Amino acid sequence: MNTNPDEIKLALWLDDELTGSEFAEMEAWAATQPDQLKAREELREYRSILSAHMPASEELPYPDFFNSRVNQGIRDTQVAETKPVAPTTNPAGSSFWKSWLMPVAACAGMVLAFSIGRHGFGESASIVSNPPLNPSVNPVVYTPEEGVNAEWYASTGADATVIVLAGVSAIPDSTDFSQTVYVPTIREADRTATRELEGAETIK
Amino acid sequence: MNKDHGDASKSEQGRTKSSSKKDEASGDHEEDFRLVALAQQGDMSAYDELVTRHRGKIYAMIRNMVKNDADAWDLSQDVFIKAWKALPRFEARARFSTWLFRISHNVVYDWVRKRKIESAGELNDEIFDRDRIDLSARTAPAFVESPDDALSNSELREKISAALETLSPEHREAVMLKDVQGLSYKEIADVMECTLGTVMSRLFYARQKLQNLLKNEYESR
Repeated sequence: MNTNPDEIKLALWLDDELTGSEFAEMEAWAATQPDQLKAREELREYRSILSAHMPASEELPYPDFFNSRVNQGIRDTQVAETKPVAPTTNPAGSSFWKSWLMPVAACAGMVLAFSIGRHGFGESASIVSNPPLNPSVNPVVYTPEEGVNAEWYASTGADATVIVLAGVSAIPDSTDFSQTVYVPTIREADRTATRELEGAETIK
Repeated sequence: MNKDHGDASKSEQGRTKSSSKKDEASGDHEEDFRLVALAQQGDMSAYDELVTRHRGKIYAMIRNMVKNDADAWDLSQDVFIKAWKALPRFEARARFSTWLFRISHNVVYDWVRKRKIESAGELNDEIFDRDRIDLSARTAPAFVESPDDALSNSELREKISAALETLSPEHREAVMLKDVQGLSYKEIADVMECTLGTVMSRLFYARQKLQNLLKNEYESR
């Protein structure tokens, strides 16, 4: 009677994947198979060498930035999916639009532009920026320094975007910023000053 | 008699090691499933936690396949974006990490196919070779050497890496999934979309080659 296990069962046993009765059955069989026991030991040794020197997990460079890029990628795909699809028009409607409405619309546009150019915006008029495509989506401010939390908001009073960095160590009062940044002189900042000086020299 | 006892104890040791690993891992899987359930309801912070938990494994796996840090970084990112899109279809029948490895497999092979078309070259496996990869292909941060890289400079690791590079991509992937990531034969078959027999044959030949290449290391231990 052939009591040898099939190849699949043998491979699973060699790799310590068998459990329960199958494992017990194979162990009983292997007790009389020194070659197979040796093969299993060699395989275990090989696996231990490989797993000791080839880490299963490696922290990737810039891990926080990686997460923020993944989040950004997900938001981008969500925005792309929520974009309205351009309505399809039938060919007959399209030719009607081209032949009649387009020239009329172009004329109306030119008149409107001319009128705005002459009178400017009225007091009640205000510049309306395009609404965000997806209002629920907020940009993420990435901070490369660990432990620093960044939040941003649009300050209407100051007419500016304010970024608040929480967790940044305080800048000492003794810091001399003139040593760290380039500050242009009045002459460099104001080109007209140069012209005035040149003019003054000519008068002399 | 003593030999039998020794063999039995060795066998037990090998099994105890793997079963304690499994116990440890089962808690991780439960936590994964909890986070997946939250992420499936749209909880981005839960998904962010999943990314943090698995990014290292995915990066290590892809890095060993494409042999380029910057590309591995970009492709790992693609894996997690694709996984998010496919998350509603994820069922808890497989481990989350196994499911991610399957997505990684597809992302890497799609990337290789795309590069082959772009380069319009021979359809061979040299695309996995580090020297043939255009480093300016995609945007990614410039890397500095990390402590992990310092570890990679160890002599034995270099030998193993060199030995792995001599394998075909399929054989290398099978070895990485089995002997480094610790997946079962069934899981590898799912990831690589092939039969159990194919996995076994790939592993058999790959291991035979690796064991021959690393023979001196065995004997010195």
